[in-house]
Amino acid sequence: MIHRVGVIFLLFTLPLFSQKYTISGYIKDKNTGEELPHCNVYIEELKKGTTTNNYGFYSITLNAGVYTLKISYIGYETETKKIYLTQDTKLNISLSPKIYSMQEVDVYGEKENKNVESTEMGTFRLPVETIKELPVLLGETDILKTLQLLPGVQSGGEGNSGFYVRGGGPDQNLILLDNAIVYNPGHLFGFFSVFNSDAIKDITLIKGGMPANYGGRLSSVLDVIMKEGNMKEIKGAGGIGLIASRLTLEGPIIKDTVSFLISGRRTYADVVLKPFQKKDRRGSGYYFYDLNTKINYRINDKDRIFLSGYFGQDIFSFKSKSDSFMMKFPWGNATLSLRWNHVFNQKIFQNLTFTYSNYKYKFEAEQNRFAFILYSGVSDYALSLDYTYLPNILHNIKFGFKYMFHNFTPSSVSARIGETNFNWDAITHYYANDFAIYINDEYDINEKLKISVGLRPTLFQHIGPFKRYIIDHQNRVVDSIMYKEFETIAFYKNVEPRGSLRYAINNSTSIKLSYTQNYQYIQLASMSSNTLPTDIWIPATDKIKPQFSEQYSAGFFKNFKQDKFETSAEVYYKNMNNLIDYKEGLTSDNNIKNNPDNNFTFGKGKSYGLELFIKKRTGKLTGWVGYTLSKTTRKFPEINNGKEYPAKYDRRHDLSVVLSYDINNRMNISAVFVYATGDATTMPENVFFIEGRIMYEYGERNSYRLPPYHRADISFTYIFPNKGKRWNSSLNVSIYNVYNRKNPYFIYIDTETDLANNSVTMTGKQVSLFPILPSITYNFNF
Amino acid sequence: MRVFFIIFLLVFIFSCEKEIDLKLPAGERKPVIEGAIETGEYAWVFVTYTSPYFSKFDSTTIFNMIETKATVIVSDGIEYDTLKPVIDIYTFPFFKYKGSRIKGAEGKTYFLKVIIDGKEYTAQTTIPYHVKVDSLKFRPDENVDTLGFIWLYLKDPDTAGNYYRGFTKVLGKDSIYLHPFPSVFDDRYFNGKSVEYELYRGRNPLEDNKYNEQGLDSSGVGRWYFRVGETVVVKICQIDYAHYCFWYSVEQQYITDSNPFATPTSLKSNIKGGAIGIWGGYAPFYDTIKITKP
Repeated sequence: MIHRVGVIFLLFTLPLFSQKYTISGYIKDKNTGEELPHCNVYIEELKKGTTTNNYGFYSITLNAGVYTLKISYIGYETETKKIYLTQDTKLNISLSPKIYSMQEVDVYGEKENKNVESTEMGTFRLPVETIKELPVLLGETDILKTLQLLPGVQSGGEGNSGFYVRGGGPDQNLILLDNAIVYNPGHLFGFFSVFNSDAIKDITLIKGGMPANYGGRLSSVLDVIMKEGNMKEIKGAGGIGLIASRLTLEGPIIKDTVSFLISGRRTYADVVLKPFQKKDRRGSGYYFYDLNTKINYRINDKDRIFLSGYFGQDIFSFKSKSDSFMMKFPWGNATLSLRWNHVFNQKIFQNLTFTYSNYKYKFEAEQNRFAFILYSGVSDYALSLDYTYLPNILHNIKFGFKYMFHNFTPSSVSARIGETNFNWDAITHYYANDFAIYINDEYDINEKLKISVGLRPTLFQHIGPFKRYIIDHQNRVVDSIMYKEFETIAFYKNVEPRGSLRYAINNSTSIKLSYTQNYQYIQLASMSSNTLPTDIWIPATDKIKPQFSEQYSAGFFKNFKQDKFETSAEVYYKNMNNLIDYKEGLTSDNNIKNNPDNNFTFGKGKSYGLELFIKKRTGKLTGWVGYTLSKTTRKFPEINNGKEYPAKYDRRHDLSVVLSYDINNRMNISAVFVYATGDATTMPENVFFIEGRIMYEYGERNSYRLPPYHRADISFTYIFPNKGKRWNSSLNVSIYNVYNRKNPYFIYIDTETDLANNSVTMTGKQVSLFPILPSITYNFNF
Repeated sequence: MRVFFIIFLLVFIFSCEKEIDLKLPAGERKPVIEGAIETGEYAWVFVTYTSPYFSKFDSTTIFNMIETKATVIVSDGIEYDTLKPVIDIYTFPFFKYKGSRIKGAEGKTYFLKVIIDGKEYTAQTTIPYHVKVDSLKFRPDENVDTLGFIWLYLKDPDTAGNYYRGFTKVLGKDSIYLHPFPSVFDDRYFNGKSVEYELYRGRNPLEDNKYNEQGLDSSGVGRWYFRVGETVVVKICQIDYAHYCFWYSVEQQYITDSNPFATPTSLKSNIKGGAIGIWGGYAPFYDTIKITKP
């Protein structure tokens, strides 16, 4: 397999014998000087084109001749340039934003028939502006919640920003912010995402057909790019919402050379409620904040440097003087990216990136004579070198490598009861080296056929120092092995082939196929059925084999009425191996003075489904309808007696309708409707008495279905007339859950026993989270 | 994990709760065997059945869950003791089987056989060696000095694998030894060391009607408190691993059952043949404390 793919690469890159010249450059925003990623550069004469990369760079190599370049981007006026190509040409183009008004909701923000034309499958791009008009929960625009409205992407529960892609777990999404991994994308137990939409420029979600430049996760890639900062003038933007406020400032430090961006967000329920707090509870509260910063230095036309950082934290504290109880629970992410873009020659673009990611949480509790501290975290240092090589208009070759050093601290606990101290051993770290190289070529074989093939060989090494506890059948530590510094504990090497193909039936219709193989060397272990900040990250070790998946997908893409309507139908089949879960009946204290990976059990999963999508791109009324029919199962020899069972987020039906209507230039009304099969859960099938108390015998894992989930939200946006002033502002009024549907968040059995009178009453109870919730947000920019 | 539940309730003031008509599929009816043998005591065994989920259990439903015609035999490997049905007004469901020939002794293994309609269910357990309690101490609540908890001090034996289960009995108030929640602990983190451990007051399921949902009595005092003036007998038992796992799983189920984010815990029975339940040996050590104002 490997050899054959290698030969294909050689064939594709053979030089073509004719006089060719390259035209390349950056595409920027005329007003801000910021580069525009994923912009379309289209050669009218050839009916072929390219898009700018994440840094706004494009390059096309063509035969000598006269060409018409059409450059377009959502929200910008299309620019047309006539080129007489007789030598290599550098051409930077600035696009003017359309005059400030309602923008059409366009989920791709791309060339009209990009969906049909490219080899990409299961890929969505979302310009942030388009998300801001959609209805929101409690006034907070959330990019992750908008992603959940796309077919094949499922929400992690009511109001939750977590997402599950094609039957994969939440740890199977590679979430990148300016190339740095974000380990926990949720605030407030996942109800809000860490991405402050004011600081974000562009979002790409790949749920199938992952190209070889991405790896390390089985299910999806969410690539988020932060804004770079205005190169021309100081600008500000912000918003005042129900629970949080935001402020962003950006501008040049040296005009057209160095720019900065700083963006912050904080919730203020704790501040507002403070005066009303009972004396007894002083010091209790909850808040989260985000801070995004970026500096962009354009050294010359060939080199630029970016430094960006994200810091966010949630802090929950609870104090009760009367119960002598104190609890503090902070958790948060930090990321740092330093990048150097270099254009070697017009055909090779280089990107050298250093990133640092950190996620940690701490839990402290104290009551009377009892104290408890739990700590867990992960930090990574990564270096990657990526090249884009564009030898001619038919090829787009990407290659590079990535090295990462991981340091995991799955869980460290200390406690005190009375005068007895329990310092449960020294903290156990898991260190690992993670290395990958890749090459990917997108090749236009002819008018009809386009392919993208890639290969990603990966190495993973779990290294010392490390202490491996040996446990017996009673789960007791009987011995331990000490591994020295740099000693190899486990070593894995794998090759991941990727491929996709597009066959164009005509200009507006195509068929696509893709196959991907992925290995995942790090995972999230969760005691609960929901994602909580306390879930632990742990690498592949001598006990944990890397997760492995194969995905096959096929799709049919067709556009109607001059690309006014886009439609697609995709089917996929995915199998996953070496998934992890805790052994049944284990509790978190089994991680203490033990290696967490001694407590895991391993199994398989599979998911298959059909995804239908129809979108209206232009006109006063825009929007889309997405529908997914799917099935996701898990099979673990040690869970559910080895029988296959539905995954918690197995949803047979999942429907999203998103509509946006521009009443006029100042007013927009949007609506969202979602319907999904209820969550799979485990319920008792028998009850009995032990020591006079009702106990349950549970039915098969996840064999009970909660009632279906459905909800409609609407929002209204009004842009205030600005009369030529600098200050622009708008008001968004949202109503979440318009018809006040009581969606089940969970159900439980409430038991009342009066054994003295031989009576037991059991009542089924359903807890719902959000009733009808109006909210209002004032947004501004200057 | 209970902590998270509290957080969720605190944070999500919007949440609401409603009663629903829950229709759960009925599982296969299984026998439930709950028995024990203690140092110096005859064995006792309750034999009942599982029932499908009902919204209302009355006397008839409960009566139908009791097996009165089982043959229950306990053996120490040499002798046999066929247990006889007796009425026990202090322990729900008031009907049990009690031995009359074999008394428990430390270090010995006991075998249980229960025959119902020709089907046999078997189990075995060991009575370990007891561990002495060094002392007991009453510590009052920080805010109310007449209410509090009992702290016990003991030295764990050097050998690993000591499993403890505690009970309390307030003289003149409790008719039997009652276990608090949580009632089991093991020496995984303090093997061979001196430890202190906090005991709550044991709860009697027959007195559930005296307390509200939060566990407070009519004067607003929690059922988990000991009171100044009471004399309390603390009974700390050594139990074997399987016995410990069972009670640990029972207590885990109490916790996970109220936590929507936890994976449900099934009981870890040690009965073979398809029944749910436990056959366990206890090696108790008793100590008494008279609670006075400190």
